[in-house]
Amino acid sequence: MLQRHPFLANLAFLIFAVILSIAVGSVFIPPETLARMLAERVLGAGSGADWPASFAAILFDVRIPHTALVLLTGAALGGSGAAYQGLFRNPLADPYLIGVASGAGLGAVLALTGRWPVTWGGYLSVPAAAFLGGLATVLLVYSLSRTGRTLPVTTLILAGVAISAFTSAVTSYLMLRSEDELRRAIAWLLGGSPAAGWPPVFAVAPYLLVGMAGLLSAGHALNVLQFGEEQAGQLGLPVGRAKGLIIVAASLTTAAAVAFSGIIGFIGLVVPHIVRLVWGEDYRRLIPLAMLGGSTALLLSDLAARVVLAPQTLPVGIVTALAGAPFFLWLLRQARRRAYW
Amino acid sequence: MNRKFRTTLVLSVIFLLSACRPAGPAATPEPVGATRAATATEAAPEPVAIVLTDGRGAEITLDAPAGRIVSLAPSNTELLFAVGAGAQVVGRDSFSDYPEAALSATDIGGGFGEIDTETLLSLDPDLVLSADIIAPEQNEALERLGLTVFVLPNPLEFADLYENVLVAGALTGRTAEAKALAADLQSRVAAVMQNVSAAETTPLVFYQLDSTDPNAPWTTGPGTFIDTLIKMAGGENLGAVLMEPWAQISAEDLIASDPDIILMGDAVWSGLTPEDVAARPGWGAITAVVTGRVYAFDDNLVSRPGPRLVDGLEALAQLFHPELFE
Amino acid sequence: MLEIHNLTVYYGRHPALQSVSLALRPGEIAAVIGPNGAGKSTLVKAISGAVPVRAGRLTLDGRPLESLSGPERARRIAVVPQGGHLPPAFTVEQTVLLGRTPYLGWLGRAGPGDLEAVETALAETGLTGLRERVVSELSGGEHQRVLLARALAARAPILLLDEPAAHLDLAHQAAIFRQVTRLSSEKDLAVLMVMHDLNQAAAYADRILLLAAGEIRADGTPEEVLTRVNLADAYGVNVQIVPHPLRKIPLVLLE
Repeated sequence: MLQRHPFLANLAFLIFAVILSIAVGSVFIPPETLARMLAERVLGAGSGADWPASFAAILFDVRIPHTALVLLTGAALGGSGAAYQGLFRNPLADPYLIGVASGAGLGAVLALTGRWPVTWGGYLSVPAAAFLGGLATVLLVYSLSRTGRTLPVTTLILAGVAISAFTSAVTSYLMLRSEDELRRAIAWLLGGSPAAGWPPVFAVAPYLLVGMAGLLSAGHALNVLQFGEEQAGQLGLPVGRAKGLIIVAASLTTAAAVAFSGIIGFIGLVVPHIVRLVWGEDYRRLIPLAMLGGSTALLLSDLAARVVLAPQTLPVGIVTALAGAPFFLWLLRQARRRAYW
Repeated sequence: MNRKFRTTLVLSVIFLLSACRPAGPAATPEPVGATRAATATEAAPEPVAIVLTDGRGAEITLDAPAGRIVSLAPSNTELLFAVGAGAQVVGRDSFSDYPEAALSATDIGGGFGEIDTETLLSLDPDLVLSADIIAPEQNEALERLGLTVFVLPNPLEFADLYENVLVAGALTGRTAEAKALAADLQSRVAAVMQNVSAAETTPLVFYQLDSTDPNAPWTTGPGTFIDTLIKMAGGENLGAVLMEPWAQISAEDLIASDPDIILMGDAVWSGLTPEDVAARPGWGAITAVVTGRVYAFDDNLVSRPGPRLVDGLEALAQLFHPELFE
Repeated sequence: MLEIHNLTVYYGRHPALQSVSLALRPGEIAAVIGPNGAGKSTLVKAISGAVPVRAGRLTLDGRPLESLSGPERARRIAVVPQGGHLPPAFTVEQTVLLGRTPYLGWLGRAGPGDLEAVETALAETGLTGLRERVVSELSGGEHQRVLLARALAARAPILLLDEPAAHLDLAHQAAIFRQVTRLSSEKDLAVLMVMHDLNQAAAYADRILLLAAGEIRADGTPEEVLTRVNLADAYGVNVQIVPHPLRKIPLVLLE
């Protein structure tokens, strides 16, 4: 099952994680009540509400939209991590490699220290600034790395590292200069926006879905790119356009994920490797599996972050690294006889 | 607020961003400088709707005094208990640890910057008393969930504090208690001022916020409530010459400035003793160390913008001018 | 027929190929020889579109190569690159299927025709039994056969090979060259093959192109090209040419 039907297996894991994420929270809602609440909301059927009014708000306005946001974010990180590792042919690549995270951080801190209004035309200004900052930074890195018609990936990585260092330094400086907003900035960088409910989901979903569709379509191109750009070109792949599409799609996806969820490490790095170790290196399969796996991993991490120290909520990045690193090391040892990178 | 914890947070973030600067301990003090907008428009009789403008400038309407309150900041919790509305507090943030009775209210988190919305909703509150330290997005998110959120602004001076007391009283139907408390606080402050006016000396005071790095301890600069309190208590804030409200001072400058009194605001969580301070290289020559005027000081008395600020003022005045309080 | 007129390629300000002209007919095997840095690999890359052409005209059956799209060109010209890197975790079959890239759409969906071409290519290179193996588990000879199979899967009439036998032992070298010659005659392929070993070039090629300093110094049958004068001029070493004891081809011996 696990080996032969990777999609079914991953879908099953994901459904299990979604159910857990909806069923478990710091407030206990009995499973039977939960089922009746869902039945009433979805089917319109039910024997009337005999549960506290707060349960409905908790389930439908907090838990389910939160689960949806985490699911989308995990898929975004897993998918774009796999795509970047394939594009850069570098096992250490993660979705933040070429500056999305540092740019988003700078955008958010600029919005906070500049005391921008909380909303711009209905959109929360901090996530919007983070999204724009992330995209702008990637575009800067991209345009700095282009030499004529070619885009050497090594230059891209190095430019990304340099720009990230620079923007992070500016971010740190701004944070130290602005004591008033420091707490908010830290909270955002660790955990994203505290915004709750459906609006964040609807705000990021279009970007995430467009970006993820782009990534899903690029599986074959990524496979061909594994031969190196020269061979890919000789095989007839439009290399420049393929790279551009992958970078744009992955950046759009990551920037949207970062805007509301902050910078979450490890998912985008480790999940693609886990998928690769178990199901092999075919990007047409690896990208969608990494998305499913990313969602599952982030949902479970988020659940742990919400439950372990309840009512304290841990930044989810702490959980992803705490749980992800040992699991990944174990898997590496299991797979050490097999070919890898 | 636990400064040690916040220091850790700052460090984690700096690590996270892999910033290219030497990482140093940073204290992240309470925000100041918010515009003050809360005004009790009417001390209404119980059944009439209560309409008040909060710290954001938003007009908040309560149909009746709040009976189930969640407080999102320690200062708010202290204020609510001080006006006699402690029994109406059903939930509180993790840092609200005073008075002890507050601990029996449900903890709704906030320790890592995130509030546990589920638990908060399950308390079914009719008022969420927020503060300047809470992110505006957080307030907005809670309002979107149908909750009534009132932001109590940070006081910049004692007049603001009295007003917050009255607002807290109006929101909770404790108007009379609040008036009495405000009057009491006012007279205690006046008494301190009266006493201190007779002082013949103005000791130079170094307020140590966080000395994890003893070569560059954090202190409070001009414009903070602590700075104001030190002045009112008849002292001179050594940090007032600094540029920023919260800043690091080099040990060299500190020793050269030679404070008469050192207040260890970080003693509560760091366990520092006057002996530790005296043992720091070069600090032995400071007048405060020589004369034994290095004191552990409960930072919560001056950093939480609640009614205990008056306790803080009294404590400071007694430390600065013990001869006037015999 | 592939025709090249006055092909000139620069790397930065340095000429790599200067006014190279040649024609390659179906069923013909041409070996490209020459000292290191002569421009042999550059010639393969220029024909396959991997390096930009500074000047010159390349036509395929009368059509200019630059008018072809990437996939169109790749359907006509397949390449076995030098030391071709293959992703270690790909299986043999997966790798060979990617040789069908010029026929597959953006999504890479393979149809029955593609699978059949892969099947044939695997069979022709003796890889059918190794199809499930991952590339990193293959020997050097098997690795080169995978590269050849990937090129064959494209079913291109022109096959460019850049030192296909590098790093192989004698038996595997012979096996690769025999496969290439057999396929060329069976399928009427035009083959351009960069080679280092002059005697192998003489043994397997119908025609030899001697390249030095980016220019073609000689173009003809092995007997015509492999002469003392030509080789001394191109390589700067003195050689003796003796007749092959078994076949009617020259043998080159270092003095």
